[in-house]
Amino acid sequence: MVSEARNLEPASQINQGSAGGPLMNAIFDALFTVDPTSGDIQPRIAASFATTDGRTWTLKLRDGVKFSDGTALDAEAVRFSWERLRNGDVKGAVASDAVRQMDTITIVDPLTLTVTLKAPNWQFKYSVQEGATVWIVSPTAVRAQGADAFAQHPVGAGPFILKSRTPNAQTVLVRNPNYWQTGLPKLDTLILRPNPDRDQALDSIVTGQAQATYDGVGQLAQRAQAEGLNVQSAYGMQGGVVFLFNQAKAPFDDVRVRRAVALALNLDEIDQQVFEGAAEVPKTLFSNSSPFYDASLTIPSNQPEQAKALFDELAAEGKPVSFTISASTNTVTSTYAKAIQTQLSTYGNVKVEVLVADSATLVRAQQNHDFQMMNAGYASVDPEPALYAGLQSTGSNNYGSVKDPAIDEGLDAGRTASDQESRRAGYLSFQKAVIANVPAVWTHRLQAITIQADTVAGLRLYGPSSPLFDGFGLIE
Amino acid sequence: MSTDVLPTTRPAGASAGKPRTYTLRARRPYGLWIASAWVLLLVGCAVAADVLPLADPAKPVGRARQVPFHSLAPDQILGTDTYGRSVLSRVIFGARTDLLVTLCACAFGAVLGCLLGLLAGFVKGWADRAVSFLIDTLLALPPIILLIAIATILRPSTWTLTFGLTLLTVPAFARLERGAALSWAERPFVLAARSYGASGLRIAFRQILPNSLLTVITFVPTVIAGLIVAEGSLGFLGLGIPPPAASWGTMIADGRASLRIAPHEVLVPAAVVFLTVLALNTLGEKVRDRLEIRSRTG
Repeated sequence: MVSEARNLEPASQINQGSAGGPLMNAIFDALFTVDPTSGDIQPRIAASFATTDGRTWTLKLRDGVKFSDGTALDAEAVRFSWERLRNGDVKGAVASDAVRQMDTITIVDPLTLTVTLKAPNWQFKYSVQEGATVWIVSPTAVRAQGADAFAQHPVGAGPFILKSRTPNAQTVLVRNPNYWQTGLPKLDTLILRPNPDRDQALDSIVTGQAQATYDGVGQLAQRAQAEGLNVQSAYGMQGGVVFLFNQAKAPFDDVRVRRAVALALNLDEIDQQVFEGAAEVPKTLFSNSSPFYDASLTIPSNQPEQAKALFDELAAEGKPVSFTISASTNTVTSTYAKAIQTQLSTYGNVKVEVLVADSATLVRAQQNHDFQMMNAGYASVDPEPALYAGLQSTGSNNYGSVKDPAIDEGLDAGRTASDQESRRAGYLSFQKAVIANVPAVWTHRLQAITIQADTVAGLRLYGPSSPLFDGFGLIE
Repeated sequence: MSTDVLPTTRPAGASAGKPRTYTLRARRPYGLWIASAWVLLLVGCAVAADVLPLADPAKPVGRARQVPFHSLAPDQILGTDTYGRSVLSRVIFGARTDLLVTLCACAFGAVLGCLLGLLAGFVKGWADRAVSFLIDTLLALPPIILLIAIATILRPSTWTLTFGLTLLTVPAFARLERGAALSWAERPFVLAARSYGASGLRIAFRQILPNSLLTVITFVPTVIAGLIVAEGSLGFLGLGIPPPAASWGTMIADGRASLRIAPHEVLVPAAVVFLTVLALNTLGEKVRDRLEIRSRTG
């Protein structure tokens, strides 16, 4: 895996393959996943999750699912898990788009629960899938241990149980004998090792020190294929990775500055520099596999003459552009930030600094809106929930302080629409508003790619490249 | 060059006749010459970087990751980096940054360290105990951890780096000066100065410090070599000189991601660091040898 969770408290995790996803899925499993192509619910712990009006969603659980401490995973456990996210019972909890939408949670029977939303959302399943709401904790264990101890000794209903953990080195998990899927997991022991260096992660598979990894860009996949490994690109994601402008601060409170920077950058060239040309540079907000794709709605990029004219216009008004890009020590992010800086150095009237800082500092800066431009991720299989959370004025991850009524209107229309045509209309107007507002530079789209040695199979990804390990095992 | 002719006794059994002579020639100091030439070249380039026909080290000059000698144009003779910037230009401007930072850190550290060492070695008693405690505390901190902490707390900049590297050099200079001061304070001429009623301040700065400086000066090249490596380590960790300014450490860090496809991005600055550290250590060793001989014979 790419990086490691800070602790093992699900409320503190971001459900991504590059963050808390792998450990949480191994220990807690997932309520359900959503098919990235059809949008259908794929049952796991939950047998179904459905709505008839977009406002009231009904969750039906499988009978007989037990936590690894022997207690039942029932509707009460789901309510308990969701309430502790909503009530802020956990220190350092990540803002959850799903629980922000919840109004009431009602237990119908031991295996059925309904959740009523504050406003209709026909795509609420994506919000539940892509946040900590997909992981259900054992209420008995939380009450017995307390939140702090639970974060070190979590109890879930996943395919594996925590055996030992050495932070930033490895986590050893052993088979859960009471796992609800008979005959699974296939492995007796699963060892997860964080490795932020993509090349090293691949080398560890080639040399037999590890058996599987996953990637979101494709750069590693090219090398892996050359090494004869089993590479599978499961699905692509919408939106993408961005360098976000903070519209609450100068100079990016002026749309001309945002537009000028976006137009000045040749992202294909940066793709060559950072990813050796392996990444997909978004030309439109949605890829051509999306029902909301429109080839005419292109994102502003690589128009150096227009950019120069805008920079000159701003300088003539006494506002030469000067800003700082905050970047993490992560190689990809800092390389990308320096590539932006280098390209903009060829224009007059622009001065760019790159501030490389540790992750904790950057998270603080992001949450306090204390930055000018920084890296963020708005990628998911559907526009929901990543784009809503990131760009809607009340969104849980609106770090760039975007307050644009046209964007809000488009996103709200996309969220509340009950039919595909209305949804498409909403997202077309949203795309136009994004092109006009220029909230970010869209650097590359993500894909869900698994890389496995020829001795193993069954690693599956869902949502934002979050891996599931129950079917992962040795090929007999 | 001196040539000594030593008469020898005739070995047993050797035939009588003209006595054989053996000639010992003092070896030419090629190492010193090469090391001096490299350091002079580096300093010369660093000082004259602005007037040399070099590209702006922050701006692209061509396609990314061009290999050395793909073009003989001065800008591209050592190739280009990940961002299409001239590697030669960045190495030379990096030399300026590295030498400036390390020389400043060494100078500040030497002044501060010598003053503390002088205080400890000359005043002794409470001053010695206090300074020794301070030195021991600074030495107990792992250098790279200390530098990372400083770069994290303060915003990374040239002055932050200089400050951090200064802190690293203070204990070494203080300890060196303390030892020298303890030794020189017992010499007859110091006792004589005391008997003539010279003040403690005068003895410290007119008698002890000038004499002990010789020891300190011989240590300077070695310290600078160590600081260049420390700067490189910090730059490699992404906490050195902020981009787009060039330094050897940040060049190595920037090239790390491309090591597989464009190794020259790392190898060129790494080779320059290697040669510079080797040259400075050689220079330090030779200077020390010569000054020690002089102090013994003089």
